[in-house]
Order: sequence, then C-alpha cells, then structure tokens
Amino acid sequence: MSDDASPPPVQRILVAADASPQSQAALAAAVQLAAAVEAEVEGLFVEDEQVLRAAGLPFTAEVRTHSQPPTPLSDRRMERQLRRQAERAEAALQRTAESLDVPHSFQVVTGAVTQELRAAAAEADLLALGKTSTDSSRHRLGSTARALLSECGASVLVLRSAAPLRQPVLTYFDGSAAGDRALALAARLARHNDAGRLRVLLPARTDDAFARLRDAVRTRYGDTDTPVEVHALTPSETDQLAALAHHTSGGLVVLPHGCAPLSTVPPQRFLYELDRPLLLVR
Amino acid sequence: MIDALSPDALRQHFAPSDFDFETTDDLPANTQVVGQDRAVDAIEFGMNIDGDGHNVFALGPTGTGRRELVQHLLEDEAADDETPPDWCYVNTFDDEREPRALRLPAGRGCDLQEDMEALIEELKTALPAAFESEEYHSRREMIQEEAQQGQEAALEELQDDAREDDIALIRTPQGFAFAPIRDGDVLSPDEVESMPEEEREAVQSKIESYQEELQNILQKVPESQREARDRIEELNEEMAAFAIDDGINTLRQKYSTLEAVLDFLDDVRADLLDNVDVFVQAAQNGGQQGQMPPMLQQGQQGGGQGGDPGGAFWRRYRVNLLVDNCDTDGAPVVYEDNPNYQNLVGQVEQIAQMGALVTDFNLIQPGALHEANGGYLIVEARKLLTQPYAWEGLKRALRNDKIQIESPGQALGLMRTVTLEPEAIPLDVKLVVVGERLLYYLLDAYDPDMERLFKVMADFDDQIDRSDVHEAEYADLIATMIAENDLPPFDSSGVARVMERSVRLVSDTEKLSARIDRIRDLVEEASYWANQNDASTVTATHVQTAIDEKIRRASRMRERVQESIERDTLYIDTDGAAVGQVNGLAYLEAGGFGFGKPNRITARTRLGKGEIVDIEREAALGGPLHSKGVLILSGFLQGRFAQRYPLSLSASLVFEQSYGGIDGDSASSAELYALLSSLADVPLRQSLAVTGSVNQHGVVQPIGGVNEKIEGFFDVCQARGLTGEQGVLIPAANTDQLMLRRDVVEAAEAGDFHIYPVETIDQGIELLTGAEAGTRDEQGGYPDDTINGRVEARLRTYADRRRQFALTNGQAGEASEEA
Repeated sequence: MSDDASPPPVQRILVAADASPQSQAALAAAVQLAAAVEAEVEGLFVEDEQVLRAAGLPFTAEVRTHSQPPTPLSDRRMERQLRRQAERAEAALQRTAESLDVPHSFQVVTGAVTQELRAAAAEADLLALGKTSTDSSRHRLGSTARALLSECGASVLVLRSAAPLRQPVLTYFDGSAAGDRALALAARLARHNDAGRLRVLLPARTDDAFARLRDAVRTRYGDTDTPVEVHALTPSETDQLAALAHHTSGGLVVLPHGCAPLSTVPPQRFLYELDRPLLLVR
Repeated sequence: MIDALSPDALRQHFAPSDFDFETTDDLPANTQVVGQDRAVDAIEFGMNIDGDGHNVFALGPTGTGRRELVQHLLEDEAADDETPPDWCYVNTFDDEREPRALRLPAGRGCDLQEDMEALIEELKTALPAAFESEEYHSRREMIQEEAQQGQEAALEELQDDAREDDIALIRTPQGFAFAPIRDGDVLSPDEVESMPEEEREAVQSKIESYQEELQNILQKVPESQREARDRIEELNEEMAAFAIDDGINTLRQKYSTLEAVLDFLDDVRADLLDNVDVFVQAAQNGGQQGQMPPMLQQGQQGGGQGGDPGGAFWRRYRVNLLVDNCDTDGAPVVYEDNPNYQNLVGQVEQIAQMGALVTDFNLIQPGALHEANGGYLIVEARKLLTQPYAWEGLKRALRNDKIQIESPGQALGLMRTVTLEPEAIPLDVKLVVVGERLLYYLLDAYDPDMERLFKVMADFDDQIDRSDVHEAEYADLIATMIAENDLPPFDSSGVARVMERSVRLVSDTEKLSARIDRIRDLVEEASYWANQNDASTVTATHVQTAIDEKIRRASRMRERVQESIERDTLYIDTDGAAVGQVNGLAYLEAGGFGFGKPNRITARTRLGKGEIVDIEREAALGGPLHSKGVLILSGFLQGRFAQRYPLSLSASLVFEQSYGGIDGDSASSAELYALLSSLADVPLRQSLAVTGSVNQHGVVQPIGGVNEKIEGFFDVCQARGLTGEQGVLIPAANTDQLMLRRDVVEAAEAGDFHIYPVETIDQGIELLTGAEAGTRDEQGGYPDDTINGRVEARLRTYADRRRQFALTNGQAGEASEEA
C-alpha cells in the first residue's frame, strides 16, 4: 500500500464519557482504536444543563431505581453528583488509555448534551458513542446517538456492549471516496492485530464492476501479511447487509457514510439487525 | 591307645557315577525348593485356610530362598483363584473432600475410565458450542428483552403523558426526576417563582402523581429481572441437558448392571447442570480460550470465575483407576520391595500451586495393599520394620479389613493439612511376611497383635536331610539355578563337587545346606572359571577353583596368622614334647569366612587352696563360656582325685600370645591335658593339637568348626613338613561332621597326618603322653606309673604339705613347691 493513496489518518478520537456502562464500552473501544491508528483520545463529559436547571426547581425530587422514596433535589447536590460522575469518567479514561499507552485528555463542559458533543465532534476525526440512552434498549437509539449519527461531521463508532473489538474487520467498498477511507481504516485496524483478517464486501451489479473493485482492493492491500478476502454482494444481499454482516462476522464493521445499504433503512434498525460494533467513516 | 580315623571317615564323597545324568542339561530344571516340607506345608495351609488373621510369617535364615519360594508357591496357587475387582476413585460432587470408591468387575474399570475421558472430550466441545450457538443467544436475549420491554414501554408512556402536561422526565446521575418545561426546555427557577400560586400547585401535584407512577414502574424492575434470571437458568439447563444427555445415556446403557456407576453418572449429569454457568460465561467471553497459563487453570478448581472451563474443571469428572485388573490372570501376587507406609496403604499426592499445596481425587495413588487386594502380598520383615509407621499401618489395615488412605501425619493425628479422606476400600488379602527368626521371636514376644494377625508360621530350615530323593532334587535345584541364570551346564562331577561343598557348608555329613544363595554364588563363580578356561561344561575342577579362589580372596588374615607361626612370631611347636604345654585350636570368623588357628595353652601348678586361675578371665579377655569350661576342670579334678583330702593346688591357665578376647569351651580338654601334664610332670607331644570340651566326668564333648580347626593345624604342619607323627585330637562325636579338604584327606591316606576321635580325657592323655592313663585298682588307688597315679600322688603331696604348713603356721617346711 502506498501512503499517498491513504486518506488523512484519524488523529483525534472523541469519546462521550458519562461513566455509564455504555460509555465505558465506547471508551474501551476508542482506546483500542486509537492504539491501532496511533491517534489520541479525548474524553468529553457534558454536564447536562437541563438536569442542573431541574435540580434548581423547588419541588423536583429524584426517583431512584433501587431506593425509596423520592428525594428532593438541590442544585448543589446535583452539581456534586455530576462532578463525581465526571471524575469517575476521567479516571476510567486515564486507566484505559494508560494501559495501552495512548495519549489522552479529558474535558468537562456544561450545556446541552447533543449540541456540545456535536460541537466537539466537529474538531475530532472520530466520535465514539455508547449506543443507548436507557438501560440496554435494543430497539431504540438514544436521542443523543440518533442525532449525532445523522448529523455529526466526523466518523462515528457506535457500540452496543462492552465486548472488545474483534477480528475479522468487515468493510464495504463501493469505490467512493468515503469507501476508500473506510477501506483504508479497516485495513489498518486489521493489520494492527497479529491474527487480523480483513473482509471486504463489494457491491457489484456486473462481473466487470466486481473485477474492477476487486483489483482496486488487491493492488492496495493484497500483498500484506494480513489475509484479505473479497466477497461480491448480490443486490439482495446489499439490501440485507446488516443481517449478512451479523452472520458472517463477529468483529467490527466499518462502513462508509451514506453507502447504499445504510440509506435504505433507518440507522437504529440497521444497528439492531447488525448487532455488532459499527464504525461509520465520513 | 585309640586308632586314628580311617581316611574314608574324613570326607564325604559324592561320586559322579551316583548321578543318573551326564550334564545338568539332562535334568528337568524345575525345582525351586528341596526339603523344607514344614515351611511349604505351612504356606499352603496359610493360603488355603479362610478366616481372619491366617497370614503367614515365613521365618528362617537369609539366603534360604524363602522369598522366591513363597512367591513361586503363591503364584502357582493364585493362578487358579478368582480375579479380584477393579477399584476406581471418583469425585463426590457434594463433598469433594471424600472421594467415592467404585467397585467394578475386573477389566471394567479401565473401560469406565476411557469412556469418561471420551465423554469429557465430547462435552468439551459440545457444551461450549451449545452456549455459543445462535439459538441460545437469541433465546436468551428474547427473555431479557421481554423483561425489559414492559418496563421501557411503561416508562415511555409515562414520558409521553408527562410531556403532554409540559413536564419532562429527566435522567439524573442516580435516577429520574420530573421538571416542568416550556418549548422543550426546563423552566428556570425564576419562571417557576413567577407562576401564579394556583398554577404552581397544579404543576407540583402533577409532578407528584407522576413520581408515584414512576415509582410503581421501577418497583417492578427487580421482580421482572428475577423472573428473567429464572427463565435464563431454565434455558441454560435445557441447553446443557440436550448436550449432555446423549453421551450420558449411552454410558448408562453400557453400565446398566452396575448400580454404583449409574449413580455416578447421575451425579455427573447433575453436577454439569449445576455448573452450567461456567460454560455460559465462557461462551460470553468467547474467543479467549486457552489463553490462561495452565497453572492458573489448575487453580481454578470448579471453574466459575469466568473464562475457559479448562483442564482443572474437567478433572472433576474423571475416573481415577486405582486398581486395574484387566491384565491380571487369577489373583494378584505382589511383592513390595520398598514397604514404606505410603507404598503400602497408598497416598494422596499434592501439587504445589502458587506456593500452596493442592490436591484432588485424581492424585490418589494406590499402595501395595490395593494392588494385592483379593490376592497375596509379600513383604520382607526387616524392610517393613525399618520403615516408620509401616508396620502399624499394615496391621491397622489387616485388623480393620479395609484400606484407609491417610498420610502418616493424619493417621497419628499430628498434623492436619487440607487433603482428602478417600472412602475406605474393603481389604481381603493374604499377607506373607518373610523375615529372620530373631525378628519373628521378638515380634512374637513384644507385639500382642502378632498372635491375632500371623497365625501361620512357616519355619525354614537352614539344612536339608540327606536322602536319595533330596540329593536328586538338589541336583535338579542346581540345574534350575543354571537354567534361570543362563549358565553353561555342569557335568555330574561338577554337581558332585557342589554337593560336597554344600555338606561342608553345614559341617554335617548327614545334611545339605539350605542356604541356596551360597550355592547359587558357587555355581555362578564356577561358571565364570569355566568360561575363563573356554570350557563349555563346568566340571569339578572349575567348582574347586571357584571354592579355592573364594577362600583365597577372604583368607588374608589366615595367611598372616600362618606366616607368623612359620616365622616363629607365634610360638607353636609341631614336634618334640613339653610339660604343661599343649596345642589348642581356636576358630576365628570374620566377614563370613572362618578358619582354625593353633594356639599354645600352658598350665602351671603349685600348692594352694584348690583354685584354678583362668588368666584370660582375670584379664577380662575370656568370655563366660570359657570361664565355665575352666571351672568344670576344678570339678573334674576334685571328683576324680580329691575325694579324701582337700584339693590343695593352685593352677594358672593361659592362652599364650592371645591378645584379643576368647570365648567358648572348646579348649577345655586341651587345658585339662596341660594341667594333668603339669601335675604328673609328664611331657605332652607337641606334634598333636587338641580340640574338644570336657565335662566333670572327663568325657570329651563335641565342638563347632572342627573342619577348620583341623585344617588350621594341618596347614602349619604341612608348611614345616609333615613328619607322620602329627595329627589332631577331636571329640569322637564330631566324626560325623568331618568334611575335610582333599589335601588333608590325602595326607591321612599317606599316613602323614592323623585324626583321633577321642571320647574321654584318659584316651586323649594316653595319645599325648604315650603313657597309660590308669584305672583305679581294687584298693582304690591308681598304679604309680600311670598318669592318673602320678597326678594323684602329686595332689596328695600338696595336701600333706598344706596340712603341715597350717600346723606350723608357716614356720617350718617349704611354703610351696612348684610343679
């Protein structure tokens, strides 16, 4: 592979950190990814201004999952709780990043969660998100994730569970610029692991198109130590990409933003069917 | 005067022509034992009798082939016995400290072990596969989702209802809160402040009712989660049972007649289902199998900490085949060469793991008792008794009729480490302890259990009666040794020579030696010499060479003694005559080699109070038997000569040039001759040597080592040149034990050396002095010119002078007179 053919590498990875299990998963995956592509990780903790404001109201009380009865809220207590949460998130980032020797930073801001993340993501190359807003919902994306997935300018990594990223890396190459970047990133992730494998899905309506795409992949990545498999997608497979990827791969799925399979179904449905970590490359 | 023994009486000859074979190749070579009928019958009795405590103690001198014979007899007997069952240890899943013993018909234990290994191998892939399957995943998630869906739908509904009232459900770090909103944003405190009182109260009451509703929803969470957990557990068991049951049921059919195995299989199944979480977790962590170092896997007994259910987990289902009788024909016969405690009763081994010792039922090792169970166990008493606690451990097992594996520390209650207490195995064994007689008698005297546990005594003799049958068997025994050791054949002269040696070993012409180890040594050494001479058959010459060489190797000390005599460092006269001086004969033994040594004995007598001073005893060089012999001399003198007046002599006796201790009474006749010579003032022939003990009546009694003693004196004489006068006086009762060297016999045939069988002191003194001993005449006195007459006269003189001396109170007359 020649370096000048590769798109600008991922240098900054932003993680939305709120100390929840989902964000822990995102954090772990982000650090793993950063180690593979030699990027730095930036944790961002957003103190939700809505929550702060609600806490300031005279009659709001907190209903907790495991204890009774509702406790009155005060803004000072809420601030303290959020600070503690931020500290925990920072400590987790530090621990995870240092274990893999990845440069890292951490930032706490106050504001609306989605806006702050979107703003921060504009300066990052990749945004890592835990998927859900409520506990382990499978059907819905959280409002934050949904908004960022569709509107964010950076690449987005969405995770469901705390499992580490695995091989083989599956990607979709349609010859587009985003496809190029997705392929390059996927190849890099595959090669980072000794046992890494790369599997490339090629949407090809004709044999010629398939041969062209296949050769493009081969010339760039065929001669490395990492095994590369190519697979031609039939049109129906393209429509069912999520289910196909779910069955054929246990690892990370890297897709270019706006590729055909993504445009046919809503993102949360796609993620539900895929049920694997998804990296959307822009 | 008595005659010397004829040369024929000096040695037993075995004529090669007496044997009806030419070489040992003509013999069947299947004799393990000759004679020993008492011991053989005892062992057979012990083997066949049922009933407690009829174990056998085979006692006898070492080297009589006791152990081999016992083993041979037992193996013959055991071949027709029933093969005992196999024994296995398996895990007791609800109490791993106490592994269970499984009894299976011979050969089935091995099957079960292999079947369980195969089952484990199968489950190793089948169980994880079940939990990694798509089916399991989707079913599990379905359950979780169903549990959550209800709750989430309720929350969402609540959120929507609230939103219609302009109230938002907000997630806080620790739960949820409701807040009034306007245009999607939470109201600020100022806005709330500025609300009209009524509106504010309305909002507040709405919020409170929503809070209550939320609480109701959240309260149901633990319950639905528990339900989901239960359902997942059911699912786990269902999946596991599906994977397990096929294999288990196959085994259940195979072992359907064995109740204990069926129980075990049930337990295995139940335990696998109990531990199904291990596989569930492994499947969830998937892809990390085998990454743990083996040591850590070992430590993860029982699994459960997540990760791969490694070797340690599967060990719990294995079968530890303790006793495998699948290749045993009949009953086992086990000889335990190293009968220490653990080799006998078995042990629970431990492995060091991260600095701690751990163990499980797979590390139970069988002892000799397990292996011999249902058959026979042979141990050697000396080895057994020198091993700490081995004797006690063995007795406990025999007494209780079961084998309980405990460490010695456990058995003594001294220490208590974490270990296992395996279920005891019933014991049914015949024990044969082989040992020296002394050990048997000591144990019998001091150990009260002996009577109960060793009711059969098999006493091995160290010699065998000579008879035609036994001699023929003995020849075949030699042939057996030759065959077993793959040696060249012996011709009949060789065999005859070996038998002659055997007679010499027991020093009894009526017996053969039962010390077959010595015979075996001789046979092997003779074969060596035959080999050295490139002979294909071993003959008498080779046997003789072997005997001579063996003696030569051991005879350094004897040669030094002979040399000292030849060079007149040790004074021994072999011709001439001297008063009060006689050649005695001592028998020395060192390192299993015995030889005779001439020793000058002198006596001096004078007037005294009737005491004979044994200088050896005074110098504490004489043993009690020697002292006893000397005291008997006083008895003899008093009885024969001092009936009517007091024995008024003082005599001293000494072994000249003896610097070590001396014991035994075999020199007492020689001492008496010296004493009589001194008293009679008659010189004794120095060309004769004397051995034999004497009693108070002057009868000469047999002694030991007669052959070596004669040869010892012969060697001295021969070195100086035989004069034809020389010879040895032996007790007549020892004639049966004569088995002299060929050169001695040849000298006797030539008339150069004489062996005189002496029955009484009178016969001996006549030979030594050439004078008549004399018998009492009608007046009760001895004739004056006889030895006895001269002795009596001297003693009477002493008595008279003593009386005189007493009357004059020492003023007149001589105080004493030397003889």
